[in-house]
Amino acid sequence: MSFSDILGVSIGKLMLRSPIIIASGVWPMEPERWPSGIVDKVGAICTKGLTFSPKEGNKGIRLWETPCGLLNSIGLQNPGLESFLKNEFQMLKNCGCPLIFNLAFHREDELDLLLDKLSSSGFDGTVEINVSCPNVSGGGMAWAVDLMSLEMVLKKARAKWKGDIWVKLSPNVPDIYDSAIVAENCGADAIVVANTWLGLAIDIKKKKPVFERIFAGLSGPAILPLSLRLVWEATNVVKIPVIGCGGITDTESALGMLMAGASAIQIGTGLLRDFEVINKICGGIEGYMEENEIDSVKQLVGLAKKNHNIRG
Amino acid sequence: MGNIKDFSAIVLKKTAFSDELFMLRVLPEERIKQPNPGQFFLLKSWEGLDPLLFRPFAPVLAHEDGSLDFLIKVVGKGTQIIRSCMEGAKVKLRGPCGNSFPDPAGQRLILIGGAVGIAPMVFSYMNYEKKLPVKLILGVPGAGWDDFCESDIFSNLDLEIFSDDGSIGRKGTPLTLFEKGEIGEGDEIWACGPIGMLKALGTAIDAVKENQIYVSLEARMACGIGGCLGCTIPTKWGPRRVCADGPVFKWAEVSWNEL
Repeated sequence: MSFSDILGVSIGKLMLRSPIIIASGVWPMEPERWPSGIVDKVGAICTKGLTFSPKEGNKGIRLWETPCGLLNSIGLQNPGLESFLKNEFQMLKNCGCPLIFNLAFHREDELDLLLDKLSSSGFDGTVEINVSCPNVSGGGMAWAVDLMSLEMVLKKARAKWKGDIWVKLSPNVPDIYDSAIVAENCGADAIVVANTWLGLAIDIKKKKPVFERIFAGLSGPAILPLSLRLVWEATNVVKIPVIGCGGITDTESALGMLMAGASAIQIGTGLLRDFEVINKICGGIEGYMEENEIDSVKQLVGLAKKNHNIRG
Repeated sequence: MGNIKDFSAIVLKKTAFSDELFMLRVLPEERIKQPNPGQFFLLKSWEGLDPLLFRPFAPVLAHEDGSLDFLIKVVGKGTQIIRSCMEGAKVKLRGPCGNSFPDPAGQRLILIGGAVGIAPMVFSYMNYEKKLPVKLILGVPGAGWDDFCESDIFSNLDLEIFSDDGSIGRKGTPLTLFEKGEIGEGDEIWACGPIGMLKALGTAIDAVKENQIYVSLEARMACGIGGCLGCTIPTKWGPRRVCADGPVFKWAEVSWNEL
């Protein structure tokens, strides 16, 4: 059997050669900067969060390490969709890996404009609607927190976009059930659970918050148990695929995410600390499957749920 | 595809200059692209998840056997752990990262390093000493830096040292040299060190054209390949990535007042 026969998964119309997707915001949008051999086993790559107009991102400190975690306050720095389509996309479209357009917006009509612009470029693939960026004022994660707004924008997006729609949800909500159900009811093809957790760091030397925006998004292995719980909960209430995101750094955490119910996995911060992590995880999952006589990665999805009442 | 990769290396030697300053010589376990002056590596000496990320360092020297010397000052948890590395230990590196200094256009190259910022300047010195006159200027706080200033690193180099307290070399900072008119037209200046020193360079040097001053900047960073945008600095052209568009920038393109 080939590599993709064993590790391949399909999410909506998209066939992925492996369940490992590079999350939005960590990977260069210039393929010439990619270290050799790192994306060979990657299922798909999410673009930087793209907005209609260019954004310079946040001022001041943007990164702060925490125990086993990373706070970031990048603030959606991007060249704007139009420039991205003219420049970066021209190099990326032949990179040998499906590209997922991560779209972020401040006002409702901006999402319309983004989808129109994307359609006119000829792209009809998968978009990841980012309703969960914690590092911008207005828009951002406010969309996922206000369920009525979320429903409104997703319905409009569904009516407009013929390709697949993934919705990247926020963990910064009272519970994940409601936003997951809204996304499914609005016709999303998959949900991504989830974006970063809102956190705070204090610089005790300066006696003030580290970040100019005070709060920032926490990622990394520190949040793995929280992500696993959210994925478990979300897959209890929706039938569409759930893509797990948050804290994956090795085979064990990736297998755990699949067994908690995720149909695929996004890796962000884990890639920052080890470029080889995706190759290692793919090899590790294959080894685990062979050892446990599992033929397809799909059999791993939700396995812990099926087994949780079994004693021992 | 880029030349940057993650690789392992063995610690060949550790030289302590003080409680907080040391040099690590590491030998990569595989063939890597040799760095150019100004380029840097990310380094970590731990396998676990805390600390999470590599730390950036520019090499002081690249030896013929492929080994690299890094000058490291303990500033936090990561550098503390690196200091505890023993000879023979395995470390992880990523690199070589970033752009590099362009070939000098000036008639003389003045290389200025503030404290550990001297690392890429020594590297540049070795690269260019046979091609044009090169002068190395080191600025240090003073007490506690004696062993470092007297170390082999600087043997046979045209070096001038300034210290804040006057205990080593001349009293003052590298900028003192410019006040005395010892730098002139035709000199090209490359510098690395504290932001205050770098910012002051442009205003202190009337005699040198602004576009003949280059600085190598440092920043908190995560990926080292221009992906995460965590290390950007404000420039005339908008935010630019220290790890990928830099670390070397023309002095005149950096928006110093916004840093």
